[in-house]
Amino acid sequence: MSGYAETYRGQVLASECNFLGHMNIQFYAARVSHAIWGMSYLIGISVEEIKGGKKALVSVRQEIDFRGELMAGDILHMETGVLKTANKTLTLHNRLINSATDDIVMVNEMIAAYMDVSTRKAVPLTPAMRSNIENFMITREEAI
Amino acid sequence: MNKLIACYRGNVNAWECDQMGHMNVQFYMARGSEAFGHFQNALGLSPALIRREKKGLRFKSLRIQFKSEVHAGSVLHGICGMREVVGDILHGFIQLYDTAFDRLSAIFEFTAVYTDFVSDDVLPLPDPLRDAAESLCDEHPDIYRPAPFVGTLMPSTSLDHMFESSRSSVNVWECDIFNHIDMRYVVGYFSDAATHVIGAVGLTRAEIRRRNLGSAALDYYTEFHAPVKMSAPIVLKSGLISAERKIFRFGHNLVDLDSGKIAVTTTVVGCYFDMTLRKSVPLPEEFTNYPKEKWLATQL
Repeated sequence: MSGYAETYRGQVLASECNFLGHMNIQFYAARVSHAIWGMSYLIGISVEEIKGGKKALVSVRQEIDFRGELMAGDILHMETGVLKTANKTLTLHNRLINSATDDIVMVNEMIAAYMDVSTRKAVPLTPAMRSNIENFMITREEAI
Repeated sequence: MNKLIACYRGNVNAWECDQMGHMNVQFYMARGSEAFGHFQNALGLSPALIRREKKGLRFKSLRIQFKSEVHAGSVLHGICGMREVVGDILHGFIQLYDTAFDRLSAIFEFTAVYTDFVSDDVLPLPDPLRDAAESLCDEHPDIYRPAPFVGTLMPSTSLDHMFESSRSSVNVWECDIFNHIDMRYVVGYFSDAATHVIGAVGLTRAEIRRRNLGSAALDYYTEFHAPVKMSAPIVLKSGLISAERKIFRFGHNLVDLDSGKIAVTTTVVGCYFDMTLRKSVPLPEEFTNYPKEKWLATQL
């Protein structure tokens, strides 16, 4: 069973579109940001940690494929799965979907580190997080 | 069959929180606006169709009830649905939840009409739209439904003791592709105007901080009378409707100065709270001492 989970849902604003008539790339990144927070919650980073700014997932590497345009008014959602984990990091696969057409318009593969905000250093994923992450694991074959 | 529609998921950004330490009302409305796109799509009004036909749904009235605070980092999700179709008017709702606590944070109860976005004419519901809406109608017995808005409502007329709380023009970046202002920016105007109403009763920011007070909107009721379009010169007229015990009531009329018409009318119900305890407190004496003859309620 696929471990993808919905991590963002919203709409494209007219003000996010550039002179080419489609959503500018900076606003794709804004949706990815929402997705990271969504996955943080799902894998069990506590509300206290998230809202208190104590520990968080931070992006350290991203690779993005833009596969389709988004126009003003388009509705969209993001699905996120976990490709693999390491001691202090996990690799996320985010796919942004046009909710009206089901077309995947962007895929984003990201290495995210679990960071202690007070020391600004990456720290090991906890056993509880690793247990939760199992629910969101996806295979490389699914991540297309 | 579940007739609820997923319409929002995201989190609260730090820059969406105001001096009260919680997400400002305009950013609730931003979520509501985006959710409305998913609502329309569920009724067959896809974004591509709306762009092509230049017709779609527009709010006729909007009730927003704020049920619980959310803060920077809060994770949110939204659902929406249809309640009923009355004539050519759709009645639907959007609800935003604080996901981590499965707690209702805000609700939007609205009526909407099918509109030509070029001429701004309200149109009869096309049969496919009516059929889709009726098929989604449900009592939604497990979903919170607010009691009717009670108390004095702001009328769409000018009243004595209303004053100018904002003057601006509608910016391009505040508009949708049909050059109509997005409701999130209208709520932003209302939010800013609250500070001026509070100032008008004699309460300064320094004194509010000294007393460790915050203010919060609890309930908005808005009626839309005319579209507000790009570059229109606008002025917001506001006033204190009433102030009793823990509850204040503000009234706002958004006026399009080109036409001279009141385009949007809003009644806001709110309270003060202790910033540390996050509990409501009696209204500051500046409110209760404010001359009742200046209350807008006395003219209604």
